[in-house]
Amino acid sequence: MQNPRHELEVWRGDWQLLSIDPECLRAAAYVRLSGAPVSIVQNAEPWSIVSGAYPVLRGENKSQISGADAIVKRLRSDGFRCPHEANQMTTYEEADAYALEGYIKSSLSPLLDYLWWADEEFFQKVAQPWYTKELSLYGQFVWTNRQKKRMLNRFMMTPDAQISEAKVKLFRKQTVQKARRCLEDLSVKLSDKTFLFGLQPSALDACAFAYLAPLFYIPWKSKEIRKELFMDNLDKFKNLKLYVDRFRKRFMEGSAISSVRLVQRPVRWYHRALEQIQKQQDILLFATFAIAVNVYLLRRTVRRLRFSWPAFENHARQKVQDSYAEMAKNLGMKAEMQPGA
Amino acid sequence: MEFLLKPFMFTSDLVEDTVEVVISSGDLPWPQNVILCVPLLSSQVTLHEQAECLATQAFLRMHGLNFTLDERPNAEYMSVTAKLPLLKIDDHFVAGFDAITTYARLRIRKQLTSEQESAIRPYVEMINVTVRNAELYAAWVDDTNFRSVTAPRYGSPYPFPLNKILPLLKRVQIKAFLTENSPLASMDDVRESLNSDMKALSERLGPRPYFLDDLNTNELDALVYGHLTALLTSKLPEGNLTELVHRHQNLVQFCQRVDRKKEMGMNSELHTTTVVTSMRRLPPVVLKSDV
Repeated sequence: MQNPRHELEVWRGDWQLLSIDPECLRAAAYVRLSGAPVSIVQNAEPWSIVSGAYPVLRGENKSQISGADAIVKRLRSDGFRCPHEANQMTTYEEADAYALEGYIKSSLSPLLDYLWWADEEFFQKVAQPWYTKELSLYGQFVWTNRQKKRMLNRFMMTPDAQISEAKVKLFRKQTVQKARRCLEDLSVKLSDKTFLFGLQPSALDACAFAYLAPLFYIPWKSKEIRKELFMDNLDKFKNLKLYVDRFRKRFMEGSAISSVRLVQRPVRWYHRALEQIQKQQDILLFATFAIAVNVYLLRRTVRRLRFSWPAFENHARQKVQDSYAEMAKNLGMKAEMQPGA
Repeated sequence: MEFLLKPFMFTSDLVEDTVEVVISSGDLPWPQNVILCVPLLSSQVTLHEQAECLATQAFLRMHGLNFTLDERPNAEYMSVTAKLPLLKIDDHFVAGFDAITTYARLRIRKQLTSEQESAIRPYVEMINVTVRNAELYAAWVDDTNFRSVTAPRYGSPYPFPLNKILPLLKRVQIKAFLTENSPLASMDDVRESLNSDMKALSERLGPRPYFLDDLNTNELDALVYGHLTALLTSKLPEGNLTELVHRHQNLVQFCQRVDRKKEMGMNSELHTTTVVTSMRRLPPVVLKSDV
């Protein structure tokens, strides 16, 4: 892995983050920390990948490794290690790092998923406009809906039983409790150190940053959860917030960001029309409504006219009968044979 | 199809409420008539259930909390959340290892400090998520294991058509859960993830007798003991999971140590076992309010 032709493809970022997805952030942070010669590509077409989710590490011969776990493992086996791991890491710390990584992932990722997909206010006001800005038409209308459905289904599953819709509330309660406990534990673990294991960063820091940063930077809407996690007055988790800021400024900004390439969305012919439609949405909506009402009224009037006009009906029947009579005559039959006479 | 799945579904959040009520009621002595309901441990129980039942028993015995073990084939259906084992205390139930330890911790003399708690929580979570998922995959999703061990065991208390149908239904449900919640895709993945879990546990334990303290045990010890013993005694033909634990000798010794400690805390008069093997004549569970 000596040549920089390796590319790490991640979700696009916003709100001062390199990527909005925690797993992508984790892989990117590990690349930064270990100094591996991998260029980062921001993209927004998860349906075009085989595994269906970012991050993906593309190498020579079109080889692909997907998933942050596999990428970190691969980079590690190629000799790219974080400073702390390369220098002085005891087996005791290794075990702690492994357990903590799993702990952070399993307690914070349900909360992030819940906040992004299941909080209706946030989804309509922030997530959906963001997708509209970043995704192509297919993504906006098909992929987003599918993903949302999938996520909501996932929330309703537990290892032992399937919960009904009404139990989403219970799920929310448990998720927030779990996340809060995890944040408390991390806060205790970090105390006032620079990184979780002291002065130098390790792979665990990449993981912790990846799951904490979206929590602090994305403008979540749900007031209850904000309150329960002390997001507004950060006295309780002040050290975590400072830690995330420090990590971002040092590894994810400035000179570090220069090797990040953004894949632009190609300009299509219908984009202009869509823009126009979006601009004049109100007028178009009103016009459609007005036309629909007019058509309905017109049809109703015509129908009423037809039914309340016996003369017209008699006239029509007479005409039909005449035509039958003529047909019979032409065929050489008697006129009594005609139906309905 | 829906009506068949009904027994596996949540019907109320009774358990969560119970725990909250208990916490708010303050420090109380351990109640007298406590029954621990588990599936038939010799013939019916599957890998992950066995692990959790063993862990709960070990936890209660290590702390000298007395209970009556009640083995009954319908334990899963008695539990509202379908979690096992089920602890019956006078009028209410507490289900699942986590809820039971939360309940019992308030009645133990020796409390953990908050730092100790935050030190063991990542490991508890690791076992509850990764080890448990690996066990679920090994026992239920892998074809050979499912057909030769899990399905016959799970269906053993039921008559003919049910003993074929119920394991299949449960399997569908567990497969759906695993595809959404874990990256496991084959037995190799299971072995790999279990191996790294065991390695982390072994490194953390080191040469010491117990995980946190040299003398006292806590719920992490109980949980590790339960899962390791279940893996060591498992008869699953595929995967060779027993060998994974045997790689780390300190973990095996740890299990033997906890076994001895558990027996010391056990008072034979207080721990009686009742076993109900027939599904047809189940003695009713008597609540205090009925008497």
